[in-house]
Amino acid sequence: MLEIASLRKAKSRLGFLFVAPTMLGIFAFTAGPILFSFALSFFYWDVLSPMKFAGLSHYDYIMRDDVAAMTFRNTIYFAFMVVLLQNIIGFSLAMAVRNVANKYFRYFFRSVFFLPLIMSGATVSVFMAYFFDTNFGIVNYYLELIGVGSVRWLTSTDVVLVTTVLVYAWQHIGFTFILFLGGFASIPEEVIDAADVDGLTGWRKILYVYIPMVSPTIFFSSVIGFIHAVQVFDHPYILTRGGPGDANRTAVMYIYEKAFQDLEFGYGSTLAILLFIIILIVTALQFYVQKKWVFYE
Amino acid sequence: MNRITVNTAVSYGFLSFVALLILVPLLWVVSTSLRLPVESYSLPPKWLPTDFMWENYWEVLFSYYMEREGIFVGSQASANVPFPHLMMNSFIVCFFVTIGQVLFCSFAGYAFARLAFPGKSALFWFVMATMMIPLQVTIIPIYVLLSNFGMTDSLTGLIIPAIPSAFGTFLMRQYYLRIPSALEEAMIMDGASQWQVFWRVFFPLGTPGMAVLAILAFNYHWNEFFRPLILLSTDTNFTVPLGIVALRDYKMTGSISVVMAGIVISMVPALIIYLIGQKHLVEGILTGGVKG
Repeated sequence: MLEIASLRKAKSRLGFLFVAPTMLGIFAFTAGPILFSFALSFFYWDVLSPMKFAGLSHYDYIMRDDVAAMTFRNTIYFAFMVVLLQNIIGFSLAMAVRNVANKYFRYFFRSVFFLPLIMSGATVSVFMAYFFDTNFGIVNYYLELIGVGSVRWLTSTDVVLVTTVLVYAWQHIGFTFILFLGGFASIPEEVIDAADVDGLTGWRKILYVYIPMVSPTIFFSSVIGFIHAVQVFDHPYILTRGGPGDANRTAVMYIYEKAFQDLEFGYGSTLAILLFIIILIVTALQFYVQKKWVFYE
Repeated sequence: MNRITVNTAVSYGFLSFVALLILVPLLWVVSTSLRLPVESYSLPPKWLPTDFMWENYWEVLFSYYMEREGIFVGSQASANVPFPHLMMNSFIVCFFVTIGQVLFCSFAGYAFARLAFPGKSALFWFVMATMMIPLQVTIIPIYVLLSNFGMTDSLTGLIIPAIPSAFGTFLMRQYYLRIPSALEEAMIMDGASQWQVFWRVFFPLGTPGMAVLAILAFNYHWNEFFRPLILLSTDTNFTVPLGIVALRDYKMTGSISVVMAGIVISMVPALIIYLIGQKHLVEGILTGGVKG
């Protein structure tokens, strides 16, 4: 009995010792900062002079700040487009790869789709900016060749965000592809056989069998994809520095500019808290809506 | 039978099209990096290398140092970016972050999986909840905290906040949960201490989890741009992605061959990691929904 008690004590001592560094670190660099951000949102502070209490004036100003409205609208639009595009491409690619019998071809395709994911968003944006250049860009060269005419990918306020979506989606094709590959692999053979017996083919088979069967994957990739996409910074920042105008400015870019260029740490924190609240709300909403359409066995 | 062949043909066609969409731009980057600087913008685009101007690579790597020795090579742009130095900075950051994460996440993951202590489940859920908090929301306080300790514009300031990882803790916990407890009981019977049980049995058996974590951590920090952009201000402290963007900004109007050479060099370490650890990378992405 005594031995068990001392064993338990040893276990709990080591337990505390083992979690202590990580707990301290998470407190100092994640949990503490989010509380501090929240507190900062009630103050004026430029780091150099002492803080001044601001009450709710930052929150009041956000409502009237046209640039804030624009950047958050851009961010939501961007995230929505990315999630939609990634789901469609990821689903189609995973579906198509099922028809590839050759092991080596499957491996080849998988490796290629995955390749851009290991690159830096910064690097990808640097060379993509050359691709989408209006005058010297390769994309426009081919568009003109086939008679579509050139598009002002990076200099038109109507197009620039779409360009950013394309660049971002290009880089992250492999992510949703892998998720859907897993989703398809978990569909039981009987279900597919039953659909074949019922004579379901083509689009109807996709609509009535495959989509419902992989709906948990669609849900998962949408939640994760959305959370990642609303944090986008590297791509729009490097492609056009947010321009032309504010057309390519995202929420995180605005936070960065307000805090680290204009030294408005209080207002920057307020914007950051707003972004966090939006992430929480949309995630909660997706969890709520999934009950209506996600099919779990 | 006919429908199946049609399906297969369409599938191959679609897959090949997307594969080309990914590979062709990368091929263009490589061949442009080997092109004569005056031809770097040439249209129609040449997808395959035409010349083999290795000088572009030497320029990225050495012109900064040579100009400081009074020898001028190439253009102004690359002379402003000490590329090998930045590679070293990135390696240092990735090395320490990776080692730190593997070690501390193993400790914490083991404690949450295998040890009993008061408040364990509350602490675990606290750690899980912090995974929801994006870096961008906490970057202002992190910057303030680091500047209080004089650690902004230093690699240390980049490394230390990146070591504690909620995701890594979760990942390692999952691995330690899978290991059967029979081994542990046998060792305790033989009079081994709790530490010995961890160090001699669990820690080595956690290697597959560590590999996944290490590859994700290395790749993430090799590529990260946002934190270094905010924390680092001296160009000799820069990491590689900042260097690429700096190279591009200096080059804005000139030739781009040198920028492409820089990009190719910067991708080599990530590519090597990818070739060695593709399986681990995929597994990590599936567990955490974390992008590289």
